[in-house]
Amino acid sequence: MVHADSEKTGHWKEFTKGIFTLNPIFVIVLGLCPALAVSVSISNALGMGAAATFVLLGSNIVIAALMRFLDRIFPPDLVAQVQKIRIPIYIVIIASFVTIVDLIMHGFAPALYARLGIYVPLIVVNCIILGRAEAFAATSGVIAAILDALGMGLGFTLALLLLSAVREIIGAGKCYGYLVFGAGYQPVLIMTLAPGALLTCGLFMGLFRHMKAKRGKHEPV
Amino acid sequence: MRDVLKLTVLLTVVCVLNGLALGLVYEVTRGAIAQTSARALTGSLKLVIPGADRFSETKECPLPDGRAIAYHEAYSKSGELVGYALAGERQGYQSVLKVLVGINPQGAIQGVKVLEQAETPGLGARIDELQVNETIWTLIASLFKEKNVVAANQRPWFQEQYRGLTAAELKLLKPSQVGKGIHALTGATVTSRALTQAVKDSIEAFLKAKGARES
Repeated sequence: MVHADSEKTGHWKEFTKGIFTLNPIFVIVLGLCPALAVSVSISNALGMGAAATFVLLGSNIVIAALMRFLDRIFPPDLVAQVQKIRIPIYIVIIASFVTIVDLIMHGFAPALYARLGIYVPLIVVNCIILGRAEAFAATSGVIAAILDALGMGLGFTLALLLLSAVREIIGAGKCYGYLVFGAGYQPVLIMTLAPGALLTCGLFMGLFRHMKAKRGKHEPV
Repeated sequence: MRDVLKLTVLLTVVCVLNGLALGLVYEVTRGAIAQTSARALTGSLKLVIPGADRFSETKECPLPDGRAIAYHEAYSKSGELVGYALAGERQGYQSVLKVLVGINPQGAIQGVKVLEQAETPGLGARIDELQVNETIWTLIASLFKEKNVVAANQRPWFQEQYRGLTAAELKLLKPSQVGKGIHALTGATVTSRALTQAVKDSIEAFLKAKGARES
């Protein structure tokens, strides 16, 4: 009974940590480059978040499954040796997976590809994928890897939504493509460019750290 | 030494399996991707020469300087030539702009479609922007009524400016200027100029080369 309960809280925690305590953008600070480039509008953010979550899920599953399989067929000292070539293995798997997703989307879901196609190559350079493979999937079971990927993907998407909401409303006067302040609004163009992105991200980070500190759960930098 | 061998074998096996998976997926999707691209091209062709019924295969029009313009001939239902769709490209602000230009046999622009661009979002990328006159508030309000607010099949307003102009009339105007021409995007002069120049160049080069060949 106790085992089942702690398994459930354990599983739930694997999922929620990606949203709050270990949010990829605001806490671990991974994948800022493509994130800031894409978060100019809410619809872009949704597209990138969906595509990145899908790739993260696939790569986490494949890498966790592969490493657990090697654990079983290789002697322990060889498993330790595999650490030397782990990065090339992860990168080859991630890059292949992204290419496969790209090809399948292009061939069998052209409407989706028209929406998300430009984000897919951006995901290969997204450090979140490699980061979670190295820090988590390599040493976890497949179920935990799935939950981690879903949580991180959701946290990434929510962070992108927050950033893009601010940048689209202030920087373009629109929300999801619809005008907010009417046609006469002079948009604050800097919000659509890199300085505005970094400003927004930094201010959000500060806000969340402040909220955390106030609740007494402050973590050292 | 034995360990190095085993690691090498492992890495090789992983790469070979990946390669096999990639090759397999490529083969499986090749037909479907070709179909999608063909359909997208036909869609773009129909957009730049409205009223055309069918199009020729891609043809090449050689230019005096050694380059060539790819183009399609457009025919109406009755079989008469109603125009040409020309491919143009030019370096924009931070990406290469690829554009399809539709002209009638006299050289007046029937339509323009940007095929590829990766300009700055919010600035140069606005060449693909659709005009939105609805505010988010009227959208929310309309959700409670029965009105349909979304206008389907809209064309980007910047590209619509080219319709009806000839190559000679293609000059860049300031956003507030009046007159015949292309109003540049605020804060995106380079992109606006690059697109206008790409359209102008392709029309002028094509008409000149075609005229030279026919005379």
